[in-house]
Amino acid sequence: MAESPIIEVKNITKRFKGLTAVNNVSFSVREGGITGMIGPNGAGKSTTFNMICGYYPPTEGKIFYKGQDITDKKAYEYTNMKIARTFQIMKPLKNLSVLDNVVASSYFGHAAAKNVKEARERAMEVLQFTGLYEKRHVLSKDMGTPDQKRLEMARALATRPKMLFLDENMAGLNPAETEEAIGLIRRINESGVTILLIEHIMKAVVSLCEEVIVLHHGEKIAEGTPEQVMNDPYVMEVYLGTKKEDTHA
Amino acid sequence: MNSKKAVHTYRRNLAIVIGLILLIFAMIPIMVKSPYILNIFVLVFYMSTLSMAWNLLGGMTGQNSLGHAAYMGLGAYACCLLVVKTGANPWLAGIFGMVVVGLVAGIVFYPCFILRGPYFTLVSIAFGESIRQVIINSAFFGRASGVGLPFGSDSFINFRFTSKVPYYYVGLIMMIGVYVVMKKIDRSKMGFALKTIREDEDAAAAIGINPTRYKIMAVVISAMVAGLVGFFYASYIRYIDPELMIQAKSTESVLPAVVGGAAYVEGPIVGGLIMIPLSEYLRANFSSILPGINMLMYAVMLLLVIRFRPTGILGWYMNSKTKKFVDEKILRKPSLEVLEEVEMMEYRKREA
Amino acid sequence: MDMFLQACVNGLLMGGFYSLMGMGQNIIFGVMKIVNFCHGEMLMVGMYLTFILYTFFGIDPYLAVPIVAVTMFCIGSVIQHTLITPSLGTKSFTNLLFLTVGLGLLLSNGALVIFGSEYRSIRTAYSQTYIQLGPVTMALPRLISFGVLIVVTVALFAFLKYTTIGKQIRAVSQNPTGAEVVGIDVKKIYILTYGLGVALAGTAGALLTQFYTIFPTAGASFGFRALIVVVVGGLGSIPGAFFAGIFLGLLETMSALFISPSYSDLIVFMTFIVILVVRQTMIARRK
Repeated sequence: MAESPIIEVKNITKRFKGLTAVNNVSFSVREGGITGMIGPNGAGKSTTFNMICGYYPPTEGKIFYKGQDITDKKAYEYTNMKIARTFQIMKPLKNLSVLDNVVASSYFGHAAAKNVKEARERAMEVLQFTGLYEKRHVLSKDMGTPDQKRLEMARALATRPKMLFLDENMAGLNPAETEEAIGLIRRINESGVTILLIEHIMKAVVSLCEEVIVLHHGEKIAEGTPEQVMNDPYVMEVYLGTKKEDTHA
Repeated sequence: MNSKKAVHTYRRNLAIVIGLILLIFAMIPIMVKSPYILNIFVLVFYMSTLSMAWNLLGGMTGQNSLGHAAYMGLGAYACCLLVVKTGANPWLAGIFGMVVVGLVAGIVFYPCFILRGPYFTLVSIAFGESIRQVIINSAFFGRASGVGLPFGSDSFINFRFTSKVPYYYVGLIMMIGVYVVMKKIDRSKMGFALKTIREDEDAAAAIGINPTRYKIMAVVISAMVAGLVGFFYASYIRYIDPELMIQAKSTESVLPAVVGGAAYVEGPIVGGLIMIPLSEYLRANFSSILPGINMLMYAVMLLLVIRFRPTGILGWYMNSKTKKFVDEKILRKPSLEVLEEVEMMEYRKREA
Repeated sequence: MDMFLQACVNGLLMGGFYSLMGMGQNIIFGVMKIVNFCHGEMLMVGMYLTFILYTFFGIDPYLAVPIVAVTMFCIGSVIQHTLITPSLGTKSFTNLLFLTVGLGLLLSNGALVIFGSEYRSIRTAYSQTYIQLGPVTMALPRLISFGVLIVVTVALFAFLKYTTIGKQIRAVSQNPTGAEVVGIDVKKIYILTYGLGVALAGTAGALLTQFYTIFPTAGASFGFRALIVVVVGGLGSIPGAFFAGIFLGLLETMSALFISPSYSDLIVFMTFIVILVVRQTMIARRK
């Protein structure tokens, strides 16, 4: 089987009024795997995500999904292409119950549910899979951070994606919760979903990802397996800040 | 199997309660002969319907329009003018009015949906005022003096009666019909799309909802229902003028929904049943001494509800002991888990 | 040409009021991100206050301006403290919107209950004095009012720019959380802001009384025009609001002169919709 990448990003650049947030970044994501994207705050990770997911177009460059140019697609067209995402700043539907949050997602996407019952059935499945089943009648604004992060994933999964973008899904979790989240992400991946994730927690990246992309000041500075990246002297310097203090300040 | 029985009992009790309420409403004109009281009921019906129209856009989609009096007025004008100028059948003219309002709202608001939050509200006000100004300045619309529908003998075909009883029934059917449509929308794919948009437009786009498309659908349906109310109003009062579309009327149309509970489909009806009789009572008894007292009461009610019960009267009831009592003792409602389990059982059975 | 000049001057003099109203609305919107839908009604309350002071205490409308401003400030502060601040916590835009709409209903119908629907007016010794300036005629009260407007605008600008409280207000409008972190009492600033905004509306009302009739819904058209001024002039910009107000006044008189007086409202609303949609589209494109 020829290894064709599911997502291919070619030389994308994003400028906001003179500030270059992402500069000439290219990478690709292998189908079926888990790829991580790391970098210090303000490195342009979320901007890259938002561009790939159609929230704003890149100033320059192209994005391909399974060989098809999706650079100019609108955000809401992605679900039909079996792509889903989560947000770093969680966006639960605050005044709806957890179940209704997921039911809403089940109605849309390539495999959209055709009626209430099918949608609810799908939502129940996803809730059981993500471990939120017991809390399905709670209003989502009344839940804690770990459950809201899970709800973000549940809502993305209910659209039955083949490609999932996770934006800092473990930020703010304690070690035990992180462990659970890692387990969940692995299970999602094993069910046949390709994952690209942004993460700060090194442990999670090392244990989950087969490939890691490192961004710094909007530029890609390294790429490879977690071990390769961790041992790259430049990454050590800018990301972990071991050599000098505040080299990039 | 036991749980199935419990669900069955609950559904039966619910049907009995709803049937009883409907029966009471159907019986009112037989028991009450006073045209004054019947008029209040007719008012409740069409104001609640208008408020439901607003609620689809404001409560469910989170687009706070303050221009619904203009849609209603436009509907009323479209249907009146068609009847007066061509002698068309009023019922057909009513449908024509709804279509016109839906089209105008859809076309005008298409570019406006780029606006979010307060900007949308401002445009809806400006839009409503613009329609009123066009009508005041145009001889075709009869300028400020308005348009009257022809009088004549009672006939159902011409939707023209001297008694208030037929209007009562038509109004009741209109309110229930619109309620059923709204309830269907609330539970449907569209309802979930609208609620997702209300909570967060980016989150909506992330699960494949095209916000503009659904907002247009909401605005068109909402405006069409308002146009329907306009048709009913024109046939009932038999005279319309641009005063119908002033800003205060738009605000009035929102109050039942906000007081009753904007997050609930039933909210406008509950709010309407409480607010309008109270307002009419005050108007009838005090307006000669203190003009404006009924609107003052409206305002005080609105402020009190927003300040102390921000989710409206229904929101308050939903978390109250009274609801628990009603659910447990009268309806014998089983727990949610049991309801869901039975729902899933039925679904699987049908699939198999 | 004479007509044109006269229309220019009239537009300018009227535009001053829109500016003042717009500045009040702008401060409130800028700081709390809520639209004050009862701003016009506040102007109406200012008018009635001036009317009471003139009729029962014989105070000249211009001497009444400071008294009205202070009273309105107090009214605004109480409203903010008892009604708006608690509702800000619910973060429900719908509720905040209808809170101010409800306040507007309360005020206009309260005025209707207290004063009845009669049109009232204030006629002082100099109400009918006119000043001839070349081809242009101006009523003296209008001219004085415009002078006061300019003074208030400059004072407001200086207040926001140079005083500590003004700087705090600007800080809160930029970032409430950040302001709270550096030790600004945000709730106090909210009270001050709303009081200030309402006081500006009341001042406009007091200045209007000599050439405008006083009735319970007198503020409605000013209220909406204040919103137009805010949107067109740009959020948080005092000079923007000032010029947008003048622009609006000129637009009204010019469309009345060149098209028809009965269409001037329609033209104002349509211009507003077009400006708003075009500007938001451009902002969205730039993103």
